[in-house]
Amino acid sequence: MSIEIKQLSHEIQAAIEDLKTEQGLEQVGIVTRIGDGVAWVYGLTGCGFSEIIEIEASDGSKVKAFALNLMEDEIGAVLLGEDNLVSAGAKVRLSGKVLEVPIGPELLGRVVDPLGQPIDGAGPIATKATGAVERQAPGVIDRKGVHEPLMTGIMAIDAIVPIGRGQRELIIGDRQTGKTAIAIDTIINQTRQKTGVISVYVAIGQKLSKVARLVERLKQEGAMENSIVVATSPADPASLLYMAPYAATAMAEYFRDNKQHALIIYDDLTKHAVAYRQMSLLLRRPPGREAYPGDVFYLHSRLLERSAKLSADQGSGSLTALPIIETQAGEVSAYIPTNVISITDGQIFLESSLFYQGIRPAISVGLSVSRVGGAAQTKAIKSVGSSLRLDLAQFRELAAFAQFSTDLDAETKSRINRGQRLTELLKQPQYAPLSVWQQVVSLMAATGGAFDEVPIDKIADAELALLTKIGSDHKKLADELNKGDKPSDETKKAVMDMAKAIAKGLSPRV
Amino acid sequence: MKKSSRRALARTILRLLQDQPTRRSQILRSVGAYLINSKQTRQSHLLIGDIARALEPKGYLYTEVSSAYALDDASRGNLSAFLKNQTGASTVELDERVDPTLLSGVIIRTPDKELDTSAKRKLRRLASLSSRGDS
Repeated sequence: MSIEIKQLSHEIQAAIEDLKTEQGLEQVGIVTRIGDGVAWVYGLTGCGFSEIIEIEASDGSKVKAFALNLMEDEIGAVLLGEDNLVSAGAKVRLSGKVLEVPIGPELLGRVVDPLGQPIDGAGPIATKATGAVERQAPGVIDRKGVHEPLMTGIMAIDAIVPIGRGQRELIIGDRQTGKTAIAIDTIINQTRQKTGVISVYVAIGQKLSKVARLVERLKQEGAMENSIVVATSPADPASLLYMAPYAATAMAEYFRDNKQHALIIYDDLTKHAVAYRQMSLLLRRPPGREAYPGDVFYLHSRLLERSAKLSADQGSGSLTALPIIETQAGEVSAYIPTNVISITDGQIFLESSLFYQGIRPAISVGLSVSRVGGAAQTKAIKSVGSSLRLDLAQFRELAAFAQFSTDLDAETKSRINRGQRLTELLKQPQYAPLSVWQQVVSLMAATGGAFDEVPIDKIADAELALLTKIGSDHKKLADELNKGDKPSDETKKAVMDMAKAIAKGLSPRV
Repeated sequence: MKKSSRRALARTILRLLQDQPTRRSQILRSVGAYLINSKQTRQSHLLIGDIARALEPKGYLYTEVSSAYALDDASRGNLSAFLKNQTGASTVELDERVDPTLLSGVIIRTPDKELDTSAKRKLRRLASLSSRGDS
């Protein structure tokens, strides 16, 4: 057995340093009560808000907690670890630090908890930097208007409610309407289109089986290499659920501040608000509407304000947020949904009825809106999709009206006809995001009327045939459209000719 | 019964004791009655701590000293000088306790701060460090 004396000497010195008694008096508090993940501490008058305090556990280890209630007689601190190790009378010390998590590119491809500790069994993560969990959002001078597109690959979104880099677009809908599917497709699209956008997915109180499925899919798609997953399960303490989106934002901000583009998905903020309500009630804060504390709006506004498009002076990086909110029976006017709707720059509303009709993604065109994304929309898609919202809105009006009358004029019939085909065209399977040229070609053909004679059940076939033909025989045209510029008249004509030829083959013979 | 803040109560008790030293027993009986009525008897030691804390800015430092063996006069003098130097107090009250389980060294507790130089603490930290090393 070889012993390296030099190494041994270093280790002994380190142990001596660690055991050395502090030469001065240090501030110490005492736990007076403990329960439900909350410790009440006597003393520590110098404690700051949200400061990390360390409680001496019964086994000699230290349990971390953060001070949230600073009152005259005591401090209410929320534990970040198990409360069964802490007992009344335990000593508490100040750390002098606010909560920080590891940040950096080393986290890419990993699944971590809100403290940045790996939970994917792939070994420790050696990051070089840490970032504050709670941080001020960039100011006005440091920002720039949203002007670059963040393509989701979902035609209904990119054409009707486009998202720009630095935007906050809410995904809202009942359970099982495809909210997470949209978010995942967006992550996958970043990899397929090689946009270089880093994705951070935050699971707040989600079933770990769902997270495992999601990670598996991202790995299959090769998207995990550009992604970080921050996972919390319903079994985790409320403090970790509360922390998860802030910690994940700190991880995403690293890329934003280093001239890169990042996308963060909060799945979902309803559960986050519930976790915060639990913490607040246990901290004896006065309950307000639906028992949420008074600062539940600030909880989400300060989080989402950190998503921004930075100015050129700050490196032009961006952080785009896709928060998810789950509604009950389509009730968008509930407390938390209205809060987050007012904070974000638009919402994608998913309807159960559309989902069950087979219209997937079940995006309600009438209720969905993007307040700033229009400026960021690709010119190519804008040129062919500008009339889409209007066509679909007219179709909905006329379709309802047409139910009462069979005698319709030709114009009305043609609008209904077009609307049915557009609705069919916007259906898109999961994990199949479309590139810019694919979206432009499909929309150009449909809005130009090339598919008007194609039976509704053959629209998908017509679209596939057109995309296959252009993808294999006209790669140059596809590459040109992929640049995102407004298509020339020649390009339009070429696409329309091909679409009409395909439609002719699929149209019923008279 | 409306409970007032414990710290406010400590400040009031201190003011009354200083202003009316002859009524000391009456004041303390009233405090006892208040604690019983407001069901805070179990917090009496915290109240004492708050009174000690309120005295600190006035230059009076209450200190609890636990040691493995009884302190001699020289140690007591050194300790008082150390505390005056560290806290800027003009008067130091030492509340001495002997705790053989400390093995050696002392634990000094002021209302807000602590200094633990006991062998017991060092051994516990050593055990904790070695158990972390094992895992």
